[in-house]
Amino acid sequence: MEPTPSLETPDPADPAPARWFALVASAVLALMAVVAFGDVALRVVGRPVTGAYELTALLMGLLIYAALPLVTARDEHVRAGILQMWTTAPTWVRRTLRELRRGLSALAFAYLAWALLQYMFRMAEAGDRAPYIEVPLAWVAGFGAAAMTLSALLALWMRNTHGSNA
Amino acid sequence: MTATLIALAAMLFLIALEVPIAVALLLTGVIGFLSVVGWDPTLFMVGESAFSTVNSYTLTVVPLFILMGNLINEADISRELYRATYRFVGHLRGGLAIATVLACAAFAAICGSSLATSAAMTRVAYPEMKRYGYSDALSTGSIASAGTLGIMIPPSVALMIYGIMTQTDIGMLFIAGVLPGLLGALLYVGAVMFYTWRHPESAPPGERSTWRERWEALRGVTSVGLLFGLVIGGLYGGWFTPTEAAGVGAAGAFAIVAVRGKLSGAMLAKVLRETAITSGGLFIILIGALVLSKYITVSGFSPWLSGAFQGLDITPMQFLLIVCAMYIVLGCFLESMSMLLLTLPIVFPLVVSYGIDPVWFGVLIVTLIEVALITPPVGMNVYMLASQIPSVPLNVVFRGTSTFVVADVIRLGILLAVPSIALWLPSIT
Repeated sequence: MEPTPSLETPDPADPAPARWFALVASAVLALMAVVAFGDVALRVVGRPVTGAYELTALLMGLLIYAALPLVTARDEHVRAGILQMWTTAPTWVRRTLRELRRGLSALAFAYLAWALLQYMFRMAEAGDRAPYIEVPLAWVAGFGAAAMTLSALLALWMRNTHGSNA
Repeated sequence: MTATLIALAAMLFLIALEVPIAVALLLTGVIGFLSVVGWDPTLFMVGESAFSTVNSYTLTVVPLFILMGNLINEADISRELYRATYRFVGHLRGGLAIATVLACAAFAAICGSSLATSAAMTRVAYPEMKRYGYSDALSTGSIASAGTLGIMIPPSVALMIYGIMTQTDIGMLFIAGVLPGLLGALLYVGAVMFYTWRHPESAPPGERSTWRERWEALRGVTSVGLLFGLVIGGLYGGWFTPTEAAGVGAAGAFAIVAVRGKLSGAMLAKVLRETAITSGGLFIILIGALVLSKYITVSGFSPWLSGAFQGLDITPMQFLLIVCAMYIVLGCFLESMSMLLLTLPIVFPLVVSYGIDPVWFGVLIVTLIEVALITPPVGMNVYMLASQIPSVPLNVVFRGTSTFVVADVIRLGILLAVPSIALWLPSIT
């Protein structure tokens, strides 16, 4: 069987802050995989990693928060392309809808950022920590709030690179 | 209840305006919750949901299995899988399409995504079928349809999300998906044979391989068998939790990539980034769905809907048929994972009230999603395939998938009539 040419297309240029967050997400994901596998492997030889569950859960939070700015910047949030019904609408309609989507996305992410920030203060006040690894949990919520804030800003900035460009 | 119905209608309107699904779910949930309990409890609920939804050990199963699938994709193993299955059935009329179905089933055993399975197999199978003079309808239809096995044969992202949303054991769901997935593959093979019987000119036979060539081709894919055996065997044998199985699977996939000489810093960075992006996009919808779900709980909508259904005096089977019809219609308009996240907060309490087994229902729902992936107008697998092969018009691909949709409907019927297809394996663990 003959080899076929690659069908991949290059990524569009991403804004620097989203790239930095994505870099964190990639590193966290790699660490999460190492911890998950390492825990199983070391358990086989009778030396399980203490706090592996907690560390994995914590890394999971960081991964999702850190990935979101790039998802937003690339306009890769899942949308229902119902019949591609807006592609043939007049330009002003498409433009209005695009601004509406941006505005609502920014609003939703800003609210999430605000909610996470309040949650961070609450956890900091209560002194919540992961019991085994003793890491304060408030800063994870703080990181989430920062990522959501960036996502809100990027929602206003983003180009329409994916989905139906209504 | 009027307010909740208006809120749900507004959410569907936003979705129709192509507002991101996560945003539509979240805003509906927030505004609805706000109207019931006020500002401060809403802010706390959203903060708590946004934190605890993602800071969870159980949920790490999703990115880790996605990582495993993405790594396997880079190992270019789909070519070997296709070659191995081709060696056995390539000489039959429609043999390349049958080989495609079987290779997709094998690829699905190490990859939890239908889109990834279709994408990987398109690169390999389509040029071959084209070279042998297969019709575009059969070749693209078989790839798009068989790709849907990716979310039924474990590991499955859809089953994981279902398990997370409904608090159902993910390991049990995976094991329950094995037989229905194999049944799906078998019915797809039947669909190819039926198609080539009706249109013999669409699929000329290839050359027959010797047994020596067949065993050699099989040797090339032993790593796939080993990885599947380790991950699913570990789950089945109770050695691993799903998250541990995912960790082992990702490590195994990494080892396969390394052994095959495909490992590079750039490739690894790309795989990690793409996995993170996919996970981020998925989990923000999950946060939105959980916020909406909490609004539906506080609004008392679920008991009201259960009461309304019980007032109709319908049997569980009639209820299931209504659910099937609803998902098939919704699947025509909504992306599959969003459909799952959007509907489960409303449908699952009804499922519980009818005493339906949640593991079996999960398999049923994923079968319905498989149908949605290949039916017009929003068949995601078809769109993905069409984007890879722009020379084939969309309607040709949909024409090709129509025979396979019939196979899916037969599978749904079997699943409804014989629930033990899904429940037998979990019952003997």
